[in-house]
Amino acid sequence: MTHPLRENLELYADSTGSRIRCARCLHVLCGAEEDWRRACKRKLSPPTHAGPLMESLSGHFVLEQLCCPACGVLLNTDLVADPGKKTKTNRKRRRNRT
Amino acid sequence: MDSLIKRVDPVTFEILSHRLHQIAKEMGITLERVGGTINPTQQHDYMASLYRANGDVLSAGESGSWHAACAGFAVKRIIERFEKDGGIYPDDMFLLNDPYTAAIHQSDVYMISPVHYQDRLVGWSATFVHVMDIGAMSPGGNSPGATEICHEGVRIPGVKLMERGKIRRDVFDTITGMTRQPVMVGLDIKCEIAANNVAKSRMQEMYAQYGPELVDAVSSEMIRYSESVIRKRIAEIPDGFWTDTATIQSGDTWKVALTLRKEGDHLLFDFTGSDRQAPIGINLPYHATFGACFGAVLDMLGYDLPKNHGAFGPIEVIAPEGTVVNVQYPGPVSMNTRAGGAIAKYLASSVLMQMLGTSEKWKKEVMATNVGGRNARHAGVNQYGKYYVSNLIGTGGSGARSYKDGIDSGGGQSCPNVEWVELNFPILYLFRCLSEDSVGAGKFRGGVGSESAVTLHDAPEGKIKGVAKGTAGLRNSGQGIFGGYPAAPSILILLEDTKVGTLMNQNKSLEDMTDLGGRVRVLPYCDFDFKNNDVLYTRHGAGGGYGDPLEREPRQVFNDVINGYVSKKAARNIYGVVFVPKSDEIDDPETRRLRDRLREERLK
Repeated sequence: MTHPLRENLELYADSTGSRIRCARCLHVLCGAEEDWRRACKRKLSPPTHAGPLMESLSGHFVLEQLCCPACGVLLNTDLVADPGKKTKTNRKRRRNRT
Repeated sequence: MDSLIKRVDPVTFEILSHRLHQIAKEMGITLERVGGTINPTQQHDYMASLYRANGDVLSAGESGSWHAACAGFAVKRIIERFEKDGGIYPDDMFLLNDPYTAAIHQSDVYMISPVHYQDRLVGWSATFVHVMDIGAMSPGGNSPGATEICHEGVRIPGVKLMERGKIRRDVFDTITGMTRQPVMVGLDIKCEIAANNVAKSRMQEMYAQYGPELVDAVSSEMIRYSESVIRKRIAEIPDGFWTDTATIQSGDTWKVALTLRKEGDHLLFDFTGSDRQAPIGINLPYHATFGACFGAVLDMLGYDLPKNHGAFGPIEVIAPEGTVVNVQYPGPVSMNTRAGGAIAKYLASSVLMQMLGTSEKWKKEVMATNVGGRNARHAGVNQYGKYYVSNLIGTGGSGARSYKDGIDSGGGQSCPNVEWVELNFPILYLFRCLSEDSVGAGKFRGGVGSESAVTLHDAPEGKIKGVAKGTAGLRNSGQGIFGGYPAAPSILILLEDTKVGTLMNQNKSLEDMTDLGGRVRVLPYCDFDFKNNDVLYTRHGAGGGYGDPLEREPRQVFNDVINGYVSKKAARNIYGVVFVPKSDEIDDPETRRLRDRLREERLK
């Protein structure tokens, strides 16, 4: 039995248990209760990897891509804070003041 | 009533249900036809809906559903206030714009009209129009300098504007007189009166034709039907939880976090973890945050149903007090619809989309969603020597779907006519076009966003005022989903002291923005002077992509390149599509090899 979790990712169950697998190559990423993101190949790139107009994000954000570690199909893409830059949020600043 | 509804045949039910929707639609058409300002007539910055006698949403007709929910709260507040003091009589009409009562921000002025049939209160109609000015610090209402609600203009928790069919001139003149544009605001208010009169008249005709018992029974059944179908659809989806966060950046950064928990036929939207409310007007009152979730549920799970109070039943919204999504008095709110509101609507849609992606039946409905975008207001003395206030709005692209590309220049509100803007205001467009490489890539790409540049033209004072607003930040455009890429950020740039005047005097057209020269200012939330020879450039948000760009049909990438939406460089680097050198043909074997190599590189 299978049901989708998102494009190219599915929950798969048989007599031995439930697992999350790549729907493209059927590579098993992890158990059903585990975080599939941790089982992915993670690649960080400059934001301009998503296009030349992303230049203004450089130094603030990087492009995080999570792929199936077997076939390389892309499962998630996101802009995340550049690990090289400390981003202060309103919440953190308030905490520092007290 | 139960026995009556059992006797209603499905055909009559459908006819009455659609007739109510059509009344709300006709209200919207009335706002557009009778209105005289850019917001109702060209930009669809309005709402028109019908309510039951107790204020429950009966038909969330035209425009944003979140306003339909908030106007329902406004109806309930009017009932509470005037039932005991002042009375609610046939042909009365009430005005309300207080965000700490039920409105979202003061510029969106609600007009609320009771509908009586044979002297019995049988329902309500409500509209809002984003009026041209509301007497706030900055012209137009959105005030970047405001640090509390009292800086943000006229605030009315409910006042009777029409008494038994007669407009109260004292109230009308007082309200319009507190704005910079009494005549234009008066036009906005009067088109709302007209739309509510249309609703009242059509509702009364319906009651006369079918009888109050039948219309009431059908109204109850419509809400019960919508709620039962939405609950059934929610129940079909596996239980779970989904999260997302988004930020607003303008000097400081404010984060909004949302977790959606789905259990059985119930949805809990929990904004716990969002930042404290801001000292600038990006904050949302709770009812607006609720409205954002209500609208998202209606759009995704009830798009084919009567849009009404039925979507209230299955949802619960937690927004901690004193946060950006539940502002406490006297926190400012004037810029919130396109700031905190854009973020809340994005997050509510994003978590719902993630939820739909886990259902075999519903995954086809998934689409990428947009965080918002930048835009501006302008105000000053126009070429006719008259003071004016107006908007500069463009259109972004909508997000990609699971089975097709997003709509180009198809997100947000309608785009005003360029010639109309130039005729009425001292503004000249240098260009307005679709923006190359703005979209989020994917198996299906986002819709292409627009970009525009304007300069000052024929302004008697040589300058006007501008207000930079919208969703400030670097993640303020379409966000990709399920591997799809984010779109380019929306930006607002003021180029000061450019050579635009010289170019125009030489009859030269603008080939490249760099030809303009000038000093570049990327605008955060701020008021600014827009002077002769300045150029204001806006890139609006584009749509986020869906799925892996390496799975996109090469022929579709080819079409995007030919149409100027995607550059050849992006086609190669992002989509892995190779063109035959010095030709517009795709090199299929090289494309396959490049795509294999790009996948391998991901695994290194």
